[in-house]
Amino acid sequence: MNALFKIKPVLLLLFIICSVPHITAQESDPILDSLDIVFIKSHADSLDINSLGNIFEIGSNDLYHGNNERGNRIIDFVLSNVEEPHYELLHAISVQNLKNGNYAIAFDNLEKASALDDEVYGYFGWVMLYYFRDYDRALKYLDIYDSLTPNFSDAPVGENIDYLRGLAHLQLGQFQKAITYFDQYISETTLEAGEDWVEVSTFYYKGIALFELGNFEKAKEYFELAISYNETYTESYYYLYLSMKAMKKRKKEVLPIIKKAQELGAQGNFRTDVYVSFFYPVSMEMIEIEGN
Amino acid sequence: MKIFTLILLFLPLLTFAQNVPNFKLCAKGEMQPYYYPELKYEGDLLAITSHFIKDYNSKKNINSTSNSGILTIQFQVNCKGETGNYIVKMVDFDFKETNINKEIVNEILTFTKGLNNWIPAIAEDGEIVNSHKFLTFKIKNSKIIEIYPT
Repeated sequence: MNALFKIKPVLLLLFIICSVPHITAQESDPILDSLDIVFIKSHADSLDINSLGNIFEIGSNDLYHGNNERGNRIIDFVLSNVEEPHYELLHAISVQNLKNGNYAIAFDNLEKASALDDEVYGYFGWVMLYYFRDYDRALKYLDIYDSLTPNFSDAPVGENIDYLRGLAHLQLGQFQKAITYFDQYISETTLEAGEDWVEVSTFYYKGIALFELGNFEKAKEYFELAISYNETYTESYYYLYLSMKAMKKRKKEVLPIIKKAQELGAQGNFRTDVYVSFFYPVSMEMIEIEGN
Repeated sequence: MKIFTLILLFLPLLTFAQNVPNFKLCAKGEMQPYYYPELKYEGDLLAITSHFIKDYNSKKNINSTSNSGILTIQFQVNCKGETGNYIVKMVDFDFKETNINKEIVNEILTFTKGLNNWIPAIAEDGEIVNSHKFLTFKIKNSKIIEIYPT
């Protein structure tokens, strides 16, 4: 998930923007107000504030620190002075706004960026899934991206495209389709590199899809498989317990499973990410309800 | 008995101390994003979700107009875990700016202000810092169908 940071190196962006002439923010600028200009000028000791690239950096940094309105006004000022904004620039504006919850700006810039370069659709599909939580659009954009290289298994932002499609279908409640895509990813990776190269959460999510379909026996197998690759996979223990409970397994068989989930959960073993929440999360509260 | 009376007296203050009327940022007011250093909520997203599922009554708005869309509430959390400076943003399902029924927005905003268990972020040098944060609510026919991120 940290890959979001890696996509747009600031230096590359500065290079793109710096290729346009120097500019000076005027007191009567239609985009910036007088306080914005005072703020930009406050950087004059450390930066050449006549450089558009530096002004972009000031705006972007302001956004990073949560000053959404001013940061975006400064960025709008930069854009108003760039005749044909490069797709990387629009992409970068989208990323920071998305991380601040400014969905309209983030979407608008990413839409413009994808119109300039089809390659953006891979990232667009990825953020539609995890950040915008628009699963239909995620599938649409991932399909466009995949069609660019039909005989190659793509990995937008480092994650297998079929794994991502599986997750989108899972979130749409299309469990059988989710399983089809998870299987595609599992068999392809297993064939090429071995099962231990498959992202472990795939087994968990395939287990979830089977669980939702009421196929508890098969679901159990996949939760066990996930645990075999990650012994501290609390969420898998929790759903393994639920599957066994649904199969009406004896108490002495299921109790150690939920106790293990309790033990792991108490140690903080939950799958988390600093930017987004993962699908089908499990909390200590959920475990406690079953365990007590 | 005295202790019990004191607890009773101060309980409301303890419970609602987080969303303070005269909200102030710590130190020079510098702000960090929610993801670095990491701002946390006790119990994570599921605690937030259960807070809304338990308390948000969507039924009374169900027949209202403009009752669907994506509502984002941006706010700041200071080094004491107190919250303030709330900003509300709304987009439709095509991510274009829109308006969602005021009653729904106010209700969700009130509940967001009632989230009292923010754990302030700690910088690498050990300083407890201010953070900015947002919560997004996907609303269909007045009902919250998804909350993210945390």
